[in-house]
Order: sequence, then structure tokens, then C-alpha cells
Amino acid sequence: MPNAMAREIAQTGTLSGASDEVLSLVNPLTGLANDYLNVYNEILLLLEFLPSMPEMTDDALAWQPRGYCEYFEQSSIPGARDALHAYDKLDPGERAHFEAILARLTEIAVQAQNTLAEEFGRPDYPDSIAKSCEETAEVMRVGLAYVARLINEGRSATNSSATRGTNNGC
Amino acid sequence: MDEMLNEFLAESAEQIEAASAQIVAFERNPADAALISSIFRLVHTIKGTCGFLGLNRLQKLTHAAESLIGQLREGAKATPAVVSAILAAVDRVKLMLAELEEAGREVEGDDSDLIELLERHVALCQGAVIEEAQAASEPAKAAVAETHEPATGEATQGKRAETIRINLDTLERIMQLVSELVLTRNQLIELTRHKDDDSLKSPLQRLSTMTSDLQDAVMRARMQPVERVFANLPRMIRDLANELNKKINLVTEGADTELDRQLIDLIRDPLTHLVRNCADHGIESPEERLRAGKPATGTVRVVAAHEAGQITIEISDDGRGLNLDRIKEKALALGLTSKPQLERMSDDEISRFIFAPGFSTAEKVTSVSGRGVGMDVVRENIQAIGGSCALTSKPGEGSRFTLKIPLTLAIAPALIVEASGQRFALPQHSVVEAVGLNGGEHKIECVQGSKILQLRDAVLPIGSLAELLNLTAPAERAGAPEPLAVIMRVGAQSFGITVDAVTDVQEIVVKPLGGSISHLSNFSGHTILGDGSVVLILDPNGVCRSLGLEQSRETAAANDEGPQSAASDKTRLVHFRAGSGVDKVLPLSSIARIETVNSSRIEYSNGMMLMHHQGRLMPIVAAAPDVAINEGDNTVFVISPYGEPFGLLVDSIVDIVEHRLDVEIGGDAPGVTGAADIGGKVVELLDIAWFFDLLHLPQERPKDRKSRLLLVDDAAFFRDMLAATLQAAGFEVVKAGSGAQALGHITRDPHFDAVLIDVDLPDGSGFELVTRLREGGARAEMIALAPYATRDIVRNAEAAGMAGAVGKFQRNQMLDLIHACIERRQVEAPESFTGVAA
Amino acid sequence: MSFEPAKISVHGAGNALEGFFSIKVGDDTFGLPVTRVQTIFRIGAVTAAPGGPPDIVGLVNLRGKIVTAVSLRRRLGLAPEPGGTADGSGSLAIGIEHRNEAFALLVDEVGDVLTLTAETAIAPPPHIGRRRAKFASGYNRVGGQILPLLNIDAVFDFAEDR
Repeated sequence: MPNAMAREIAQTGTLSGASDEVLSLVNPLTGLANDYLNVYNEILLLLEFLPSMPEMTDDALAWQPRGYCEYFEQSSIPGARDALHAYDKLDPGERAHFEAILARLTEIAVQAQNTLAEEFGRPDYPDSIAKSCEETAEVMRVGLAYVARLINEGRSATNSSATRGTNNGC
Repeated sequence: MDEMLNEFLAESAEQIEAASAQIVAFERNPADAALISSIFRLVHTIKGTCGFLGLNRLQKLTHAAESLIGQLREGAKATPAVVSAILAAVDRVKLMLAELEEAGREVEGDDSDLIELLERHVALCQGAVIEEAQAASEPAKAAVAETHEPATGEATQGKRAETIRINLDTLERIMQLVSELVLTRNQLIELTRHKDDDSLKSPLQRLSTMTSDLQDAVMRARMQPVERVFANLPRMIRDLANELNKKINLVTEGADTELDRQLIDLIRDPLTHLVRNCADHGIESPEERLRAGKPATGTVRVVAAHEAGQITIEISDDGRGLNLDRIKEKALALGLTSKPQLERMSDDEISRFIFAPGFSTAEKVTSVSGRGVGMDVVRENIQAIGGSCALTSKPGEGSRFTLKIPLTLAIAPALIVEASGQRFALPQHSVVEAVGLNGGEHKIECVQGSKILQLRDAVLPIGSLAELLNLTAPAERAGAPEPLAVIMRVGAQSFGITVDAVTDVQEIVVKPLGGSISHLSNFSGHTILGDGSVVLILDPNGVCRSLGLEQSRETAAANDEGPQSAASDKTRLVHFRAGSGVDKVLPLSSIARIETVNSSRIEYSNGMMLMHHQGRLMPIVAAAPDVAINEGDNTVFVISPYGEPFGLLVDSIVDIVEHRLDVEIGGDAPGVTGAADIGGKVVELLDIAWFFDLLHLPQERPKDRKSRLLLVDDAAFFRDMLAATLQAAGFEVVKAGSGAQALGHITRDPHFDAVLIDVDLPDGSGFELVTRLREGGARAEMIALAPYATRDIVRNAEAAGMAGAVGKFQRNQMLDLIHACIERRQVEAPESFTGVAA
Repeated sequence: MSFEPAKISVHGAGNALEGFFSIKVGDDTFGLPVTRVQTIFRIGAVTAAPGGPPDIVGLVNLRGKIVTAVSLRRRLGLAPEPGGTADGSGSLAIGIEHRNEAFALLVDEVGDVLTLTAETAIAPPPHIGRRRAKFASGYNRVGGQILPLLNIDAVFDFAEDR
């Protein structure tokens, strides 16, 4: 089902209260902003580098998951407000699906953190965690790729017909 | 998460199949680096997604498999043990995916045995690799050089660049919409058929063409390469060969032949079963093969090809062929036939017994084939989708199954027939022709209790559609015989059904029957016609069975597959009485027609007997000196060995049999070639040439033929529709898709009785074509075809020297005009006249 | 000519029953849950299904969809409607979907919607004949009358007839 914001754009050609920057931050197709993925990219990078740079362990352990709203509320980039506005207008089903995937990503990241914490004091660190970091990174990449597709393309092709027309100026 | 799980399941199913096939391929091409990389990537992707979705059991297993594949990627040897271990893992993954789909979550299980096996192999590879690394001096260039065969992975990548994924539901929806469009188009055509409004005609024609094109395009979107069905065959053969200790090579061809999605699913099981059969029962053990002078490795070939509206899939092997003796024994034991009947059967007829329910000649039912799925089920499945299954076999050399499958099920051209005031749709693919019964040329006869129709040199079983379906006739029709016979063919069986009329030829959208009536075997679906009425679609198989034809395998009357019966040394003979002497026979193929002639029809002139036949007077000669004309009905064989027909008067027909003809030439009885033994009875074979000479008939006149029409139209839909309509009216129709093709036909043989030309052809207008055809030698009258014959078009046609113009849907006007043209020619140029329409 | 009833999303299976159409054939009246009714219409031409169960009158085109027409009269073993057409064309029909098949149930009349509750339900009366009992899935007392509820599964189950 097209979200309210997409419909608004399709009907009126603009989004109430939108500035030019919003249209580049929030994907009108899906109402989501992929800027948010930075939250997970951060821990992913840390995990990837950890085996060769164990001094990053503190940063890795300090990483905190943040929800979509939390992220944009704390963000000062232009358009953050509108990202929140758009998220609010999302179809509840779509939002729930999106959040379920994020929850799983968070779970994986937190599990990895636990393993780090356990192994940290041991003598063969960081070699002991090399394999698990690699595997966690692989799995997170799969999840992030899926979320990115959700944000950039939406759940199914049929969703987009109305708005695609508008975006192309037809 | 559920949605991601569904996506994952769908993708993984595909990927794991691909991996399975690629592994088998890799085993045979271990130097193919790109292939093993692709396999690794596939398994790696699945592993990653399993991890993300928290599918721990799957993740552990795929991880272990990935490790071993990784070893192969790094150069470890792909021994059969290694490959089998990986394949075992693949199978387990498939199983787990299926369980996952059903349960919605991962099912508990213990894979430690499999994982240990995989890990053990990894260890072995690593140990071996360490040793070989020291010994190895050959660079990996071998892998690069040998990649002659494009890796499946890359090929897929390439293909993927040109395609998009589309949600299956979306495709189905589009298909539905197109079907509705076809129905609405038909409705519009029906509504405007009777109106004279010119302004609608052009847009309607455009709509019609566009609808047909759209339909084609969507059909094509539903087409998938049979590769999907072939994909699991190599693995299956590999496993079978191992299990049965045989060496089998699988060759597939035409994997890119395309078939409708729905049909791919439907043929998968029958195809798999047939291939299994070849491996299991066909191919012998290596020792046996060597003893027979064959190579130790047997070959199973699966070839798919396109053939105008159909796909043929041949599954053949070079094994031991069918054991005909055992089949005969089994057939007798099951009570399917009797010894004397068996003797009269050709090898191919005997081999067809394996399609009988409950038939299986395997001595030991192997774990592989003996699952209770018989050949009868295979054939039924194929026939249920409008296809056919034929079999030939040579002892010691192998067998070949040929499947013919229609391209698609959903929208099909159909004949609308009428019986007892009710209309039914008959799929065109099963219709061979339509024959009028009122003209006197063809009629239904009763032989030994069954109704038959004699058509050229064939004797066909026939039945009334109204009787078959138990229809109650409306009062005014009761008792009147049906005037039209529709000749059909199902597999190797030809037969006819009589109906009141063929009212239309339409493209129908096939809709499946609801559960409450799906058990009715005479019908395969229903549809809504252009005029909004619901009609049931007849199932040719069901009708064939209702006629009781399944049982009459021994009826020598049925049409056989041509070349096979020619190869066997049995001839179809007409056994008859003529005079008081010994019974006589003639080969059925030498008799054009068997006529029942009333004495009142026979005339006398100059001491010769004559009768009217196809518009001419034909001489009759008695088959024996003491054969005389009876009051009432007489039997006359129409024979035309050299073109000019004559009649042979006989007393009565005894039977039509198929028998070896061993003639002892001799004796000086006039008109007799010699004597033969038919089932213990001595008969005389007549000498046709002697009778012919008796009559001193000229030999030049061409054989009687139906009127021949040339139909030129670039739209396949109209070509097929019009050809069917004209053929149903008794014409012979040659089709051409363009002016150039038409010219080609004229050049090869200019003798046509009329030419129908679409005014709008791609290579120039229809009117221009008239001149070119005349220059090419065509003398026939020409008729312009247009969606609707407007005044303009008629004027242009006449100006171009044509006989007139007619609308493509104006069946009656078209036939009238064609008949008028033919009659005119008959008067003006009788010597080039070829014949009459039925 | 045709009528689409509002869909009530709750269909009571236990205590709280909801809206029911009262449908009449001959002297019999049944209750049919509103939620099962997709449309009510008059059928046009009927195409017979030769060889099919006799209670199936034939096939009907309902706005482009092929629908199986079943005569409730025949199902109940009643005599044909006096004044009705031989093939059933022109009859009043209720569109019902059952096990993925679209049916049209031919009836004489469709009456008002009744609201039935647990209180109106009663035990099956003892004198009901076997045939009728087969087609009733429950009984209610409404306005002094006993109203059987139509057992849709039984009405459209033709397996026994084969």
C-alpha cells in the first residue's frame, strides 16, 4: 500500500513543509532514509577491523543500538525532522516489518559484543575472536543489504507505480 | 521477518538446485575454476542469510559444506567421495528448507553425522593439499585454458543483466487481465459483426491485432526454458548409475526450448520417470554391454525441440530395448489380449501395452523405479495436458519415447461445435478436419456392431457427440442424423465425432472446472464465448475413452504411426466376396472409396455400366464374371490407380483385416494375381491393372482433388482461423504469410481454384499482389480479405481485377464468393479444374 | 438486479451469532449467514453440464465469472417450482464461494436479515427427516418459528452423489 507521504507527493507534486534537502534524504518511494544505516555500519566496520586492530575493542563495546526515531531526533542534519515526519506516516505494517529486521540486526550486534566482552581478558585475544568477527560481519552484511533494498526500493514492485510516474515527471 | 523468510526460501530453493547441478557438472570438469567459484558463492550466500535469520541448524550445515567447497576451490581433488558428501549436504539443506517452509521455523534435527563427514573430508583435503603444494609445479593455467564451456554462473550473470524479476502473483494477474481482454475483444467482435458502422471497424481491427500481440507477449513472459526440468537430471542419473553399478552418460539438447510455466511443472514428473526408466530398465550393465559389442557406457538422450505450436521431447537410450516377449507374456497374463490378436500386432502395438494400467515388466522392482507410478500414469499426465506419448523400441538397440506437448494451456484456438442444440468447445490441436456427411461421399456405416467412417484410405471409429454425452435432443431435431463429422486425433488414435454443426472458430480462455464437476472426464474446462454464453470444453482424451477406444487396441481399423506400419510386413486388406468362387482380397490402400450404390443409380451405355461419381459418369466393372447388379443396394469399390477412377462391383464385404500378404502368383483366372492365405482361408488377390485395361480408360486426367485455395494473411491468428473455417467447409488450404510467400507457392504450383488475399500485407498491399501473382502464373480468381468489406475496399478490389472483397468474419459471404469463383472457372476453363469441394 | 451485502467481519462460530438472511424454497425457510453471501442476482442463460450431479442445474456467467448453479429445491428433494423455467434461467440465486469454487444457490425468495444470538439457538427438533437434517447445521427459534441454518458444506458436497 503506498504510504501517505508518497500519495501526497503523487497528488500535489510536493510534500507539505518539505524543503529540497528532504527530498534527497528521504526516499519518497518508501518514506525511509538510508542515512539511518550508519548506526549499523559503524559496528560492522568495528567488527571487521577488530582482529587486526584490537585497540578498537573499547569503541566496539561502547556501541549502542539506536532506533530510527532516536537517531533522527539526535541528528542535526537538515531534513532530519522530515525524516521523522515521514516515518510517522508510514503504513504500520511496513514499519513493523522494517523494525523487525532492525531488531534482528541489533540482536546479532549485541551478541557479538557479548562475545567480545567474554574473550577480551583472555591471552589469545584478538585471535580467538577473529573467526566470530568475520562470521558476524558476513551475517550483518546480508541483513544490511536487505534493509538497504527495503529503504531504496520498497517491498514490492507494484507499490511504486503511482509515485514512479511522478518522479519521472510523466 | 516472515517476509524476509519467504524471500529467502524462494531464492534459496533456486540457489540450492543450481548448486546441485553445478556440482555434478564440476565433477566432470574439475578444472573449471569459474564453476567452483560460482558454487562457493551460492552456498556462501545461503549460509549468510541463514545466519541472519537465526537458522542455526542450516547455518552449521552450510558452513561445513562451504568449507569443503572452499577446499575444492583451492585446488583439492574432486573425488567421487568428496562430491557425494557435498551432494548429501545439498540434499539435507533442501530437506531442511522444505521443512522450514512448512513449519514456518527451523525443525529440530541432528546433522552431526553429515557435518563430521564434511569436516573429515576438509581435513583430508588440507593434508593432501600440503603434500601436493610441494609437488605441484603446474600453475592454475589449466583451469583458465579449459574454460571453453562458459561457466553456468557467468552465463546466468549475463542473462540476469537482461532480465528483471517479477513477482509471480503479478505475472498471474497480468495473465488474467490479458485473458479478460481476449474475452472482451471477442465480445466486441461478436457485437459489431452484425452492424454496418464503418467507423468502428478500423479501430476494432487494431484492437484485435494488439490484443493478439499482447497475448503473445504475455505468453512469452510465462515461458520458461525446459532447462528447469532438465536441471536435476544429471544428478539423478549420477546417483542411479552409482546405485545400479552401471555407466550412464546423460546428453541433453535443446534445454533452452521454452514452455509455459504451468506446463513445465506438469511435465516434470512424467519426464523424470521416463528418464529413470531408461537408466533403470533400458541401459544394461557394463559387462552386458561389452558382451553385446556396445561401449560400456550407455547413453540416455533427452532432446527438446520446437515444432509449430508444440514442443517435442524425446527421451531415448541405447540400451536393450523393450523385451517384447515378456511384454506379450504379461499382456496375456493380465488378460489384455489373446494369442491370435497378438499375432496380428506390430511390434509397436505390442510395446504400447506398457501403457496399460498396472503393467510393469521389471523383474525386480528397484528402489528407484518401483514406486507404483506406472507408465499409464505418465501417459495420462501427458494426455491430460493435451499432449501425446509415443514409443518405439528395437531389441538390443534401445528405446525412444516421444512426448508432444502443446505450447500453452491457457488460451487456445477452439472449434465451437453444436450437438442437440447445445454448444461445446473443441480444442483445435486435436482436430484434424471436418467432413460433411450429407453430400453422399462420406457416410457412417456399421461394421460388426461398431460405427465407422471411411475417409480416403482409412477406416475410423466414430460416434455421435450427442449420444456420447447423453444429450436430450430438442423436439424438432429428434431422429435427424447429424450432418458433420469432426475428425480428431489423440496420440496415435484417430476417430470421429458427429455433430450438427461447427458454428465458429474462436480463441477461448480456458478456465478449469470447479470441484463439483471436475470429475466429468468428457470435459477439460469451460469458457465464456464472445456472446457471453458459457460452454464446456471437450477433453479429446475423455471423448476418445468414452468411445470405448482405449480397449480396442487390436482394432486394425485405427490409424497407425505411418512409418512403423510401413516397416512391418502386414498389409491392410479388404476381404470380400465377388462371385461364387473363392473369396477375394484387395489392399485397402488401392481402394479410394467403398460405395453403396442403389441399382437405380446405375446406368447403361454401350453395354457398359456407369454411375455418377463426383459430378462425372464413372464406368463400373464386375469383379468376377458372375457378379450381377442387385435390386437395391450394391457394393462398389472406387479405384483410381492412374488417376481416372472406375468402379469395381462386388457382392459383399466380409472384413477388413491386417495380415501378411504372401501371394502365390499363378493360375490363369482372369483378373487374379494369385492366391494367398488369410487366417487359414484361401483367398484370391485381384489384379487391378487387368480390370483397368478392360475399360480402356485414358490415363492423363489428374486425380480428383478437393478445391485448392491459397490464403495470404500476415496475422497468424487470422490465417489459422480462416484456414480452419475453410477446411471445415471442405477446401484444401495453403497458407502464406506474405506476398513473397504467396508468390513462392504460385511458382511451385500455380494450380489453385481461388486465392484469398489480405488487403493489408507487410510487403505491399494485397491489391498489388494480384498483378505479381498473375505474372507468376496464377489463373485463379482472387478475393480480397479485410476486417470488414467496406465500399472502398470492394471498389479497389474490382479495380485491381479481383472477384470481390469480403470481411474476414463473414463466413457465409466468403464461402458463397469462393463457390461462385470456382463455378465460373469450371465453365471457362474446365481442363484446369481440379475438383469439387465437399 | 444484483445486490452486494455489506460484509460483516465477524462470523460467530460459537455463542454470538450475527446476521442471517432468511431464504425460502417451497415451504422451507433457512438461515444463511450474511458473511457467506457474496451477491444475490437473477441468473440469465444456463449451460447444462452433461453427466454432472442432477442437483447441479448448470453453469452460469456472472459478470464474466463462471459460476456453478445448484438448485436448493433439488437438493432438498422438492418438486420443481411451478411456473419456473426448465433449465433454471431467470431464477433468483445467491452467490456463495465454497472451497475455491464459485456457486450460485437457486432459491425462491430471499427475505430479511435476522440477527440470531446464542439465546435463539435450540436443540434439533426430533421430527426432522434425514434429508433435511443433512442440510441443517443448527436450529434457532425466531418469532415462534423454528429456523434451521443452512449447512453450506453439505449443500455443496457432491462427492456422495457420484
